[in-house]
Amino acid sequence: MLRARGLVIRYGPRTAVAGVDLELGDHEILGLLGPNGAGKSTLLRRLAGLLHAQAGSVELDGADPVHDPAARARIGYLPEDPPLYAEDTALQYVAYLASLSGLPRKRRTVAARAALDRVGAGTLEQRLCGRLSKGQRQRVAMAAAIVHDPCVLLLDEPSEGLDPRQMAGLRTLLGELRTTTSIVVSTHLLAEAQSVCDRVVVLDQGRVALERRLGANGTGHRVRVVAHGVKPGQLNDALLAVPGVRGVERGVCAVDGPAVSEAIATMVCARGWRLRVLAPVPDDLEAAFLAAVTQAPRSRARERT
Amino acid sequence: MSGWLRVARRELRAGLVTPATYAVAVAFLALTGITLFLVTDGSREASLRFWFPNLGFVLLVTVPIVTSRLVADEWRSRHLDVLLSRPVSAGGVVVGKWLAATVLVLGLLVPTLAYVGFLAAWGRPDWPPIVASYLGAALTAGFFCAVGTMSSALTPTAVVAGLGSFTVLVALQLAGGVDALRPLSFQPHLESFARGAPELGDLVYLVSGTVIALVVAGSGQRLRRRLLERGRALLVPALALAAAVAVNLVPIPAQARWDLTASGRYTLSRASGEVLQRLTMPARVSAFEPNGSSDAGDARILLDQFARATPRLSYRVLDLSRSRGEALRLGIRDDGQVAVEVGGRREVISPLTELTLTSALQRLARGRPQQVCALAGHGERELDDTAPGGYDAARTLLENNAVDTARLDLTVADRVPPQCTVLAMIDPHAAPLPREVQLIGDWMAHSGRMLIAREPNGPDLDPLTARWGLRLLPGLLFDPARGLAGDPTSVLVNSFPTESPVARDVTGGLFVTAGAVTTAASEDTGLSVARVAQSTDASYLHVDPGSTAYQPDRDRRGPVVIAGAADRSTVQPTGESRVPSGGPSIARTRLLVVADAEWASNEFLGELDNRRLLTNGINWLAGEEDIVAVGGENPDLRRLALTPARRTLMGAVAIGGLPGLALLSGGLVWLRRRGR
Repeated sequence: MLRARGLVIRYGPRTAVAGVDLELGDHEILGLLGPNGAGKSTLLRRLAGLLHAQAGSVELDGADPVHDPAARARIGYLPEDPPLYAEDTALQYVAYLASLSGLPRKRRTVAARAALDRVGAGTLEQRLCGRLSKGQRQRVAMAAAIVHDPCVLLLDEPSEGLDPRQMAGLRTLLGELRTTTSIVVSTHLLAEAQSVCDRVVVLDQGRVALERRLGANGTGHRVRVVAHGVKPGQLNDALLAVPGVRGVERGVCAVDGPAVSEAIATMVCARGWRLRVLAPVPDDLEAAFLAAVTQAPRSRARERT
Repeated sequence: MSGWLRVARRELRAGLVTPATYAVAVAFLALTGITLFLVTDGSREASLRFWFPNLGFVLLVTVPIVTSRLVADEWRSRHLDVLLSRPVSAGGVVVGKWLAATVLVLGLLVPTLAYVGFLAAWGRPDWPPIVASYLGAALTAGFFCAVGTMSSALTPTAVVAGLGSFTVLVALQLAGGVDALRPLSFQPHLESFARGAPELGDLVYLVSGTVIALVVAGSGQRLRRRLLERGRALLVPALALAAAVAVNLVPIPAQARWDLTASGRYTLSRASGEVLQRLTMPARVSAFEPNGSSDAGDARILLDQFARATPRLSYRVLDLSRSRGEALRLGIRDDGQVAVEVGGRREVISPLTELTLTSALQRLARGRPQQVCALAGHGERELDDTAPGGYDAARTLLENNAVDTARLDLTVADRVPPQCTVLAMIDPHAAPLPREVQLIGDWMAHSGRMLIAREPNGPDLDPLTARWGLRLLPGLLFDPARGLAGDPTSVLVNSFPTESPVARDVTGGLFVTAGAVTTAASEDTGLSVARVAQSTDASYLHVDPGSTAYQPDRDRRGPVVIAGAADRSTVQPTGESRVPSGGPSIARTRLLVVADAEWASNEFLGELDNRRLLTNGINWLAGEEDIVAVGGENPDLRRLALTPARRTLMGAVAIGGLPGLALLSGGLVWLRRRGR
């Protein structure tokens, strides 16, 4: 759906994005994580077609949003700390952005009302944007981002300013939206990313420091295997030979699904080794994040699971 | 609907609900109201041609306030990203915002239609120039808003944007006062529209200026996003700027102007055009008007029309106080005088009108120059006599007006030489001989022109003048009420009762020991006689030299005519035609009789308007003041009947009422939105 290749973006001497490759699948929610200044917002702006890059390309079904207005019409973009027109009512503002996206006049107001309802801001439609609270503004801006039913949604810190109830609502909304939309969410809340994202990419100093697919309920499909009567190197080789095992590191296998555990147990028993532990491993994203962003850039190992 | 139009609609809607817009409207209408009141009260003319040029100043103050936040605020708040993430280009956003600002400023102009209502109610305005003025105002507003939008698109700080556009616009206005930079200024173009005579060049300036400002604004925003290829991105505004400069440098043909005034005030007459086309020698016109005055502006407009009609004519407008040496060389003494030089000959004219200038050019370009032949042989005053009673100053004045002088003694000459175009008989002490009377009479009958100035005690000249309907009376004029320094025989004359060209722009004359002129019966058809100057009712012509008291039974009661002009025209089927376009010629005899010779002497020529009286007289005699029929001779003045009550009403509405309405509207908008 949306693909970025070798993106390099520099602001004068400072490199904000340094050779990033990214791919967003259909109906996928991709989390963009990283410390402040890692290049998340710049990358999102490039994906939204707001910025030219010194190198690399972005394609949305073959078209670059920078050059192709039709591609931009299929993108919904929510900037960080979204600005609104203070003198417009919420409905006027959302309808205006709907009109800019090319919605016909007759559908604009209906679509704007529906979008406001969807983000839980239906009661705000006649309120002036300049008098809304931060959370309310965030929701109105979210409504403006989705009013034209985009197929790609780029959200920069969408949970900023939301209270816990509204954050739960946001998670529900993203879950609903993924049925029709692919979403990139930039956030610094790991828990939020774990709860809604299929995959996360950690950016650090403009580079991809970590890319990880997340499983259901915040765990990846990983199992810890401990067996007696065998040397560790020998066990690793044997495990890698099992169909469905994608990698092994210090006794933890990355597997394609729960069914692979059974194949592992069968293999260990068949070799005459004693199986002591075969258990799923919870995904510790925070540890991985910290490990990725604190490693020196040159010695950083890319972990693919 | 295109993206830019949607942006424009929203901006306009936002502008209408923002109290700040109404604050600007109050300031705008207060400023325009004050200028309207001052200008209209001063001119008393049912026209906005003096008011519209001031609009430049008002817009210069208000437009930067309207435009400063247009793009800068969106840039600073990063809302621009939200807009540009939609299928709208940076150029579309810029154009949309510019359009909204322009419509908003034009909206501010709508209440000024009330001013037009005043003109229509109390005068008879010339409508096409008013429509043109509003069109020019709209174009100027569009240009100003484009400059404002450009400034706002080049910085994220609204204050800097406002100051930037204000600085640019002030610089463009001030450029109008510097000759070298004048083409850069918008002011002359705005004034062109205000006069009701816009040119293609005015349209080109305002439209190209608007386009280049918008291109720079759009490119500035594109450049901000384009981290690569900055050189190529800069190419677009550079090319646009070069194109704008190029189209403004293209010489615009003189015909590419529209004179919308009912009187055709800014169009040279066909006769003037023909005179200019026949100009074979280089001509230079030097007008002396105070720098920056409206007279200087008017002079420049008129001279520009002449210069466009023929490449042989060049002109300059000089400030007398700064060009003393040049003024001295050209024989200029006062502001308002104009030196016309053609092929080494020179004439000083005043005032500068199409008529006077075309006539001067015609006179100077003629192969045969005018020559005044001063008669001698009977004690007449001499043209080279520098004594107080001599006529040396008059000779210099005539030569400054491209009139040669010569001395002619008909007591010995057998005919009037053909180079003489005007005969002058100044203060003869004896009557002409019968032979001279015969010679002069025959010459006069064939389109002759003559000036006779005689002192009260002079000889009887009826044989020369009576045939043309004029007679000089014996006696000395006394005017106790208008005597200079208590001398009742040095008479200040302020009455020029007819529309004679001799008295044009003459408001006062000094005649010392004058006599009187009266009409005489004549059988000549086609003869018309006019009183040129006369004394007051309190004056009298004293016949008895032995006493100075008024004697009702003998003296002639005032007003006493001091100078009279006779003009006889007969149409001849053939002969030399004065009118360039051909046709039947007119045989025209002219006689100017003044019952005083002192008024044009060295001693008194400089007094009051005596100098003008002499040049007018000679020009009229020479018959070249009316060779062209000029439409713009008498500007089409449309008076505004502004009584004190109407003046008060106009001031109240323009200065108080309209700004008050804007304030009220702003208050209502604020109240309506307060609870939301």
